[in-house]
Amino acid sequence: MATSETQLRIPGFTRLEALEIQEAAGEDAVEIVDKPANPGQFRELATAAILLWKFTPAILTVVAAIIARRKAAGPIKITVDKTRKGKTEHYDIEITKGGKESVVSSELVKQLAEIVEKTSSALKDA
Amino acid sequence: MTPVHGGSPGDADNWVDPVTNLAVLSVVDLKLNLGGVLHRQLPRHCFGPLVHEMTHHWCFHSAVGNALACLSLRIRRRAFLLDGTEASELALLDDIIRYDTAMEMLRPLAEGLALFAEFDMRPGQTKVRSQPMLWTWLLFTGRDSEHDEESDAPNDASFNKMDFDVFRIIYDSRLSAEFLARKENLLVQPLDVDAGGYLAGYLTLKQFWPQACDRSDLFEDADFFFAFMKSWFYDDYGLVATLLDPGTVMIDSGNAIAGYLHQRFNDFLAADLAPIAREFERGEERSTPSGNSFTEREFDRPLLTDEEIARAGRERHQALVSELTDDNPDPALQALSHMDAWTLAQRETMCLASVPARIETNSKNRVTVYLEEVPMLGGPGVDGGVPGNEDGTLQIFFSPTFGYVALVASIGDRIAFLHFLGDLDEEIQKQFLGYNVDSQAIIDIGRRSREAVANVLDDANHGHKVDNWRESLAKRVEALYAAGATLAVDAGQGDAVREAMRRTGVWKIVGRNADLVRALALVGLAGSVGALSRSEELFATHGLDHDASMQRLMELGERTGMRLVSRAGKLFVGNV
Repeated sequence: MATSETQLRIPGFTRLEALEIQEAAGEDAVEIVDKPANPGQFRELATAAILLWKFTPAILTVVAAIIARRKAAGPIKITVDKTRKGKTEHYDIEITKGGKESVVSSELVKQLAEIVEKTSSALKDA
Repeated sequence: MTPVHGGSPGDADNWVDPVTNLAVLSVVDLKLNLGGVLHRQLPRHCFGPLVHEMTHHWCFHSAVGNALACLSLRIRRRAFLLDGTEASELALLDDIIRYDTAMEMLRPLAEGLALFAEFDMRPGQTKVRSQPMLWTWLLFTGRDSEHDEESDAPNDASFNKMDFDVFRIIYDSRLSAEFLARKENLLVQPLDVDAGGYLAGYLTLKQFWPQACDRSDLFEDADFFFAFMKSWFYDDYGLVATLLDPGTVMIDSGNAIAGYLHQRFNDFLAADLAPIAREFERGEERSTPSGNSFTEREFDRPLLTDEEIARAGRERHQALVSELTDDNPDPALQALSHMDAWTLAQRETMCLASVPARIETNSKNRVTVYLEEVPMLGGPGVDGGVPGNEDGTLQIFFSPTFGYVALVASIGDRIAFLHFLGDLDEEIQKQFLGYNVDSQAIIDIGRRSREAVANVLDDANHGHKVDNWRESLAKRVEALYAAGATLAVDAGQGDAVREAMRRTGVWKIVGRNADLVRALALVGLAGSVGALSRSEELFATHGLDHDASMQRLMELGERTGMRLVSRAGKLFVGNV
């Protein structure tokens, strides 16, 4: 699965949104992480997180489209992880402005791309 | 690879523990919603998560739910009492097999019922109103049960004000974007039950519903069907009798319980349901709030259960309650009996919300509760209050049985302030003071108990028998619900449909097309509130083409044998 040391983790997706991204971006680009079931509890059906392993503009556009479609577009929490020698460092980032409903915002795509770029650079420098 | 985290802090975290019936709900934010709670007007966005957990609470506070809770407490006790003999080990393992079997066989059904409450429950034309329906009325509509008793009697057959108020909440919720996302999320869950059995349990109920409607018109009422199904399984003393049958041991116990439940599903599909449904409706009319002691509660509504077996179930249940709670000369066991008695008594209440608070008690035992340094509540403290200024918790408890709402400010497990909304029997008020309101402590006790039992199991000579049983049980649960969920699939196509749905629900059935999943969710939600005539408008709102989507779903149904939608005159109806 891993094609990059850097991953973008975005929680709070419905499984359908995550499948939609997987369909568009390719199975090796995205991993769906369902909230694990706890055998001792009966819980509300949880949302999923996606782990994004590839960051091409096309893939980020799909992710941005999903985020943009949400009415409650912001804030969206994103974690960028870098795994190195078995250790994971991560940065928590919040997108405070999502796109408008039903609009694929180029601004949002840019924001996502910048997040990956900046964080990857920061991690490289660390 | 990044280790899988639990949910992010922003994720909803709402759950119920089946043993203590403790509900942990993050959906009601007291800092924002305290006024709404006080006026019984919770915000609409709480409806889905709350009705889901209320349904769990309702199911677990039942004949079967209470028997399972008792069994779990006896497991803890038997782990504590292990004396190195084979007999004591086998007694413990036998209870574990019994508990696991019933819990795992019922888990998808429990989730299915909770999801049915979210997506399908609505007031109908029968006189039956399920408890989650009544609680929705009590908590969301700003109504007061006593104030409205005369004009809004729940058993009034007309589409009365209560029904209207509840329906308005349900209607608005189901047609919201948030609910559409919830239903989409459900439809692409794995059919395999290892992920909790949400979709398998829900689809099983959705497949059983038309089967029931074919045999009695009463089932056309979604809430009637919902209440009936809960009762069919959770108020069944026949299951309790099998669960606590002293004549079986170990694998035989597991086989008997699994076999009983399997037969119960089959009985539902084969029975002449019309007279049973009529009797159920009459029984609901007669039902009144039960007594205030768990030992006196009656869950007496055997539906197609042999009277003799039901009586045996009641007796065995009562005997187990006595075994757990009767006075004991051994101080350690007496302490355990005391704890178990309170655990069982407290199962009736449901904590709706909890928030950290600062609690100030003055020298006259007057308490002020601060949320983020803002004084929010105040009044006389409970007897024996200690002057001080401490960090604590403000919680809202709801009693489904008695209908009260209690505001509780506590420091650890010590209640400093207690206020009930509505008139309440003094005895019930006193009983509340004995409850453990420290949720974290309850969670910790449960976790430690489970760990202790797991450790015992690891060291047990016969522990492998439990492991082997669990493995075979999982396959039985899988087979039962996979068959139930695809009951209406055309002959010869069931295996292919089940295989396609194993990991991603209807996703592959609809050709991996997200818009079609969305369309399916939307037509189901619209149908659940009688808004099918608005379908085209609703589809347009969400950027979907109604006619093209329905046409495509019809074609896919023909091809796969899984008929996700069907036609009713000019309208299309969602079947899932």
